[in-house]
Amino acid sequence: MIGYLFVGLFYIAILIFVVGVLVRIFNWARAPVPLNICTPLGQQKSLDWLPRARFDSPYTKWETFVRMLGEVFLFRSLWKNTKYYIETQRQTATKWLWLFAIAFHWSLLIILLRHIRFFTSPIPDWILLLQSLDGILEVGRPELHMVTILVTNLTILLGLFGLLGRRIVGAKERAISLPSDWLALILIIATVGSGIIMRYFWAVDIEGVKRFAIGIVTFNPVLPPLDLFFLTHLTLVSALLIYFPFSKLVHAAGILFSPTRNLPNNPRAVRYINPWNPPYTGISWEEYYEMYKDQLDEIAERGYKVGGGG
Amino acid sequence: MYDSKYVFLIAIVFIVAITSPVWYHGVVGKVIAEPELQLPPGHCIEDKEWMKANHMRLLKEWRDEVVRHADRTYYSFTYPGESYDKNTETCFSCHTSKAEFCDKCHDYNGVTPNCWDCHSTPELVKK
Amino acid sequence: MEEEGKIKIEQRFPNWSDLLKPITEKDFKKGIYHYPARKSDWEGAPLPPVYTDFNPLEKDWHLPEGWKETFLSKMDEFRKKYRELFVWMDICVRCGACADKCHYYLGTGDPKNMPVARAELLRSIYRRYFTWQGKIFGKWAGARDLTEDVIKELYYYLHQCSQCRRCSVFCPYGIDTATIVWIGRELLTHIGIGHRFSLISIAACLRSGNHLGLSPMGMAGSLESAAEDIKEITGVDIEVPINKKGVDILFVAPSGDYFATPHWFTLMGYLMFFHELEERYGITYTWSTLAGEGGNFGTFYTYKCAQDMNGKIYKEAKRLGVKWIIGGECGHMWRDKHQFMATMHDIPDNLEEPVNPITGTYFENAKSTKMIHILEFAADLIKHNKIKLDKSRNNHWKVTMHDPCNMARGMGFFEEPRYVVRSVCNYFYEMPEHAIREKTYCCGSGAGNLADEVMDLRMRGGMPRAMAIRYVHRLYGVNYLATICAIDRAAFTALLKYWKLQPPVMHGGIFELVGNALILSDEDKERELDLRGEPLLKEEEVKEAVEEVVTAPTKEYVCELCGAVFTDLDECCEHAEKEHKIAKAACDMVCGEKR
Repeated sequence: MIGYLFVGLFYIAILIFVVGVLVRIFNWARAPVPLNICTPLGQQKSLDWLPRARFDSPYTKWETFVRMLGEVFLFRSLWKNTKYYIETQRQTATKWLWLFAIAFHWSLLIILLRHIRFFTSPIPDWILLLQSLDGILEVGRPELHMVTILVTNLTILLGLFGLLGRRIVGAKERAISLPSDWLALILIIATVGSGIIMRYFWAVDIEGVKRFAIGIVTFNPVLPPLDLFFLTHLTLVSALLIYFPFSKLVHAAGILFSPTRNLPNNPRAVRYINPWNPPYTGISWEEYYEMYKDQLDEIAERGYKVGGGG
Repeated sequence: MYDSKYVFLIAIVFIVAITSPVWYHGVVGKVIAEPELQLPPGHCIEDKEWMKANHMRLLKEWRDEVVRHADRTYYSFTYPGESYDKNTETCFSCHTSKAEFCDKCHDYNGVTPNCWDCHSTPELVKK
Repeated sequence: MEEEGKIKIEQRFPNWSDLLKPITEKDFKKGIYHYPARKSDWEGAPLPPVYTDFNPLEKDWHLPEGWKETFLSKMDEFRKKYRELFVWMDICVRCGACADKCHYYLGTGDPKNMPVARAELLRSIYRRYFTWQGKIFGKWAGARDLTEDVIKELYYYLHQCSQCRRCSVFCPYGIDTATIVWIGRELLTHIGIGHRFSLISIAACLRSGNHLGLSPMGMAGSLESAAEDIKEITGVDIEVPINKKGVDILFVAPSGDYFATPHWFTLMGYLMFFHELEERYGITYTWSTLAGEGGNFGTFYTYKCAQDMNGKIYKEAKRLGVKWIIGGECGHMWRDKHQFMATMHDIPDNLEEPVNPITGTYFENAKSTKMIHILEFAADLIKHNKIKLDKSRNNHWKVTMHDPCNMARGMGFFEEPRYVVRSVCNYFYEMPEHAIREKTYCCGSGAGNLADEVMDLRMRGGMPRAMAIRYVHRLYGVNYLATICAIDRAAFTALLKYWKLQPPVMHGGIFELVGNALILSDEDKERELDLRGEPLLKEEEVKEAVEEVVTAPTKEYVCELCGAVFTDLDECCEHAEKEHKIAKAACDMVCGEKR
């Protein structure tokens, strides 16, 4: 009986996640971007012979697209991070945040892709390939016992605990961390943790899990195995899915809507239109002339020029 | 709505990605909902469900016991009084095909055990 | 705040819930808080008719009736008008990458000056009234009620931002505090809260065409005396066209250049440059008294102010019948011209796509707006050898360049000015990499912070920039800071003096250097003075100066950490980096002259 609850929970979570994210996206899209406020991070396109930063200061849509790829997949803005030491007034490049962020996000992506093995049958070959690549790390003594440690399991923990540690150790980061920041991190750590426990320490009925997952995607629900860690994992994943659209986690979708990054740096070449641009109400020449008639006439009398030795 | 071209593109990519397992089965044309096994007649050395969950651990135990302690006999818990030789050949005497038995479940679950890196398969033994 | 490098930076790290609590007028610090707007200026600007007369230090701010509803309804309106606001209110993850990028945070140590915290000021209100999480969980979701204290806090902190966008460079989502602050300031105007310094200039500009409120003859007189100064130094008579119809180019400069120092020398540079083009190539241009202001204080105040202020340039371009427009050296101006102006106004149809008639270069990047930067134009001419330059006339300057925030991060304008500077002077040195180009530091006085009442804030905010200048000054003997922003030219006067850098480090525009180097075709006497009226170095002196730089002084430098002695500061820096892990940018902390 309790199994049905989990089937229901999982379906509802997926539904909330998908609908929630779509609502978020379309809500944002309803608002216009009034101005092209691209932040160019490199030389603009101007004179042909000046070396320009094509992907830091994109001029065409194509270049902007590449810039966005760099932001989304390589976190190039974080790569630029620096640290300022007030005592000595020096600043150095720092890559810690970038390292933790990229370790976490890429691991998460690969782990999610690996989970496709539960939702597909037959399993696509490239997923198996990904899985075997992820499993290149075998530890232990060959004559005794070897354990395959998935690389992404290590890197995601590195990333997550790095991000958590920053918030604990860094005074600035601690001051700006809201409860929701801790909640998101702890929720993800718990989810990952329960998955890792199932992988290495607590064997679950993997076939039961797979049947459950296949049941979900074929809309032919099968009850999940009543296993403590699997159900914990499933609950946490559902909680994350539900939490996602209503929290800062929507940054994953939001970055695509950030006009400082997704607009090309070409507002002088291509006119950017603001749909709600109000009419001009500033001063006109006639009003100005009325105000400064004498002086403007004097300039006219002098032949619209001054100086020149005359 | 503004930039609808891009917004719809993003929305569609998102939906397609999330639902990919669903339409994937449509594309490949079949779903293997559960592995179809050819079970040999009779019973296994232990209970079927127990074997399903623990055969890998049992085989590892056998390996250690045989190699280190020369302990070659296995006494079944489920079927008191029955004993077996701790040897893969014991398995192969009933499960005569890797492709028809082992691989079915392993492939279904996406599990890639490294048994066969060293050990021979029932098919090879037969030859 | 007495001794150089010894301002007290009190860093505080409150916990999250204290950070959510608004400060009150009792916490306002002298030298940090701004003065409120005057009624006359308020009425001169396109602002809502709800002027609030308040004293920031008093408890009661006399907010208009229903201010809370107005504020919230406007906030709702703005999030539906500005997608960026809407998205950025939602997606910040508070990673803190922006925190120590803000020069005001570095200088004041006030946690609410972290860009993330500055945006949280608005974000907390947004959560409370526009998200169900905030409505239900309140403080625990990072939400807070909109109270009068929150308004005070907004007023205090939204005006401690120079909208330099440096935080936006490092933000993984490109969250741009400048835009958030811009909108936040506009929100405040809807409940009658205004900012004096910005509004004085805005009202003046809307009345007279320039921020300073100069009358047409005031401006003409200024240009005339600049022409006279040029005559004194070069012996060349220069004619300055004003409001002249039927010429090729309309030239627009920031009004600061009309009589502030050191802007003045830049103005002389412009005049000489255009005079030379007219003499040699017959290119005609004109100034306009109505469009006598390139800068736009509206770009950091409200949309409507910005729009009403930059519209006159196109109006004048149409009235005067010019072909295209050139803009001078000004920071906010170019954020405005590059990103705002053509969106806010229809482009007059008499304008043509800019093509340099001398070189034939087509400025494709300005084909819609029809406005190019004078340095883009100059770089093109210099590249094609179309103007004669004598670099050695700038030999008394060892130049470094400060990228103004708005041109760097609003436009991507890095190589053109550098090319011109390198072409007109022999000694050019870059500041450390984290302090230039897209990572450039603000002078600390942008976006309305040039007001005198916030001197403390300005000196603190300018600290990272001043430190970078001190570094190149000590390392290379830099004595000229070239900057292409009128606000900078005004701000550095105080900043460099405060940080005990001026003298010897002088500052000015790049066109001052161009004016020095430019050989006018009708110039027949040898120039003995630079545009500042100071003697140029004679040939022998030049050689000495060169040798002084090249052979380096016979001084010895000592590493204070281990006592090692070097003949060269560079070596000492390298040693410090290798042995003590001190970044080169900071080696002046350990490498000093041996006494």
